[in-house]
Amino acid sequence: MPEPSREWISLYHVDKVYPPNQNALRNIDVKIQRGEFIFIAGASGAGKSTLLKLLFAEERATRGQVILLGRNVSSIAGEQVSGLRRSTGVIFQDYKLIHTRSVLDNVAFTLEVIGVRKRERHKLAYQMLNALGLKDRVDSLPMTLSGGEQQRVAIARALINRPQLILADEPTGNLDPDMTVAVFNLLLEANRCGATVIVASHNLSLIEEINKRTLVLDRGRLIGDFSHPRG
Amino acid sequence: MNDEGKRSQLFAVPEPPVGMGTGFLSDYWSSREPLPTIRGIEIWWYYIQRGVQTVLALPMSSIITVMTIAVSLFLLAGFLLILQNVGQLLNEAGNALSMTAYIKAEASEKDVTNFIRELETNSKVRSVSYTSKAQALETFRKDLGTHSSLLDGLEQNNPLPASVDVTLRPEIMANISPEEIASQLRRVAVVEDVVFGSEWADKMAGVVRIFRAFGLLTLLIAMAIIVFLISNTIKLVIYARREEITIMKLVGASDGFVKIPFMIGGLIQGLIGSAIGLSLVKLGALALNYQLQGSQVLGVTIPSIAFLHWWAAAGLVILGLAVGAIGSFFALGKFINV
Repeated sequence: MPEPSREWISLYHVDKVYPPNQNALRNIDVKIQRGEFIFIAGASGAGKSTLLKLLFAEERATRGQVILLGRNVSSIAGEQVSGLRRSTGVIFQDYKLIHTRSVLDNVAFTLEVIGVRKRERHKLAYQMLNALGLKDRVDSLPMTLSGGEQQRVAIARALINRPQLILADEPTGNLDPDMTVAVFNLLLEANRCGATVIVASHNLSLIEEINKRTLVLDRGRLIGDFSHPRG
Repeated sequence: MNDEGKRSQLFAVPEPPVGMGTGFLSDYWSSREPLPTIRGIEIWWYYIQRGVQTVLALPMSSIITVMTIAVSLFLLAGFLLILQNVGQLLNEAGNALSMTAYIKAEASEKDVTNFIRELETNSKVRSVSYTSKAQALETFRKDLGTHSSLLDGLEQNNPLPASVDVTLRPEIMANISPEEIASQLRRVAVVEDVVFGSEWADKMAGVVRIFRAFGLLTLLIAMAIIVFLISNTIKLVIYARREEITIMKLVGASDGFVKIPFMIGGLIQGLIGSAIGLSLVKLGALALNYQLQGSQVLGVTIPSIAFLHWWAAAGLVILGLAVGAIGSFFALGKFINV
């Protein structure tokens, strides 16, 4: 009897072409196991963000298959896409905060989507913001926050739903070194709690310090897959 | 220890986490307790609350949408009101038929009196007016004006017949034609002939038909323009919120979760807009009635303006609700396909 596959995420011969003819990803083959902490490294335009977008169906592969828990993400639609996103915490490079809602409401929104009661979701959002040093800004609108603070709100929103998969696109791009340490501690903690974490970053020294499996992209091609960059 | 060394130590795994963010997350993650969620009717109450919030979140846009619906329905309701009242007026004018029965010269005064009495007690007749031979001559003389001397000497040998003007009740017209009534009158012994404005009545009926057909066509065109106008106003509002909608979808909101509150918001705007539009028409009708009360045109008293039939008013409210909700549904269009 064949052993059941341990791969949680599999990409088979994945191409992504943006119109009219821009190859963002070329023939990507990757297997990721549950509970891994993975960096995707590469220069700007290497395809890091596109690869993350394929994993929560914001973009669809032009060719090939993106398999997540046995389901082809490229061909799901409607409620299946919503379900996938609810079990995925995404930290967007541009934060994607709702500017008409308070910081507390932005973080609580992920729980609102799954119908969690107001009192409970606000309590958890407050605790999460407190853990990220933002308890004094809960009633502020995102526009009034600094870039680093907005990034932390986005991180809080991605983590509050206890997602099985965390996708982070340059999560510390706007943070000072101390805050960078704090954010990565949080991601590592989520990983220890069982979440699979995939971080796109062009900060090689940070990647080297954390010393986790790293996929290296260059102009859409996967040119390296290092289990521990420091050896 | 240099900075790099410090950071390496901080990131060391699986060493106990250090710094901000630790503790709460592992407790929260490991608890795995299901979070209390809303169910059943509470979900709809939640959607209604969010629907109200969508209206209040962008007050100026909501006011513009409500006013667009109000003005559109005001114009539509005003047009319907005119259509309804003019139609009714033309109907009444067409139906308020008068006939003139000319009396035979040899008819006795007693027979004529009996004939008039019979007519006055007839349920189909609204009013009866007798014109004697002398009165007919006098009227004719007045009509001739400066040439009235032509009639001099006719007093002794008046050729004009006496006549009875009969005005029929409009409500009987549904059951009996003017021609049938004229035939009945012709069979009366004292009656020489009966004349009635059949041609005028036919023309009036034609005018009513054209007015209704034209009105219906104009109404349909007006409705199409209004639906287009309102859905575009809603589109602008949704466009202003496209980022929010995209973010909702990206964090896992289902289509229904995004659409239903917007549609409820559209229903609320439609309800308020149609209520304002209809109230303005009602106020306008009241003001006109007040101004025109007892006024006459060419000796005819202008009738008071009747408000829309209840079913027409209800139809307009439903139109306002439908345009608000369906407009919101379609305006979400491509923004929801994220």
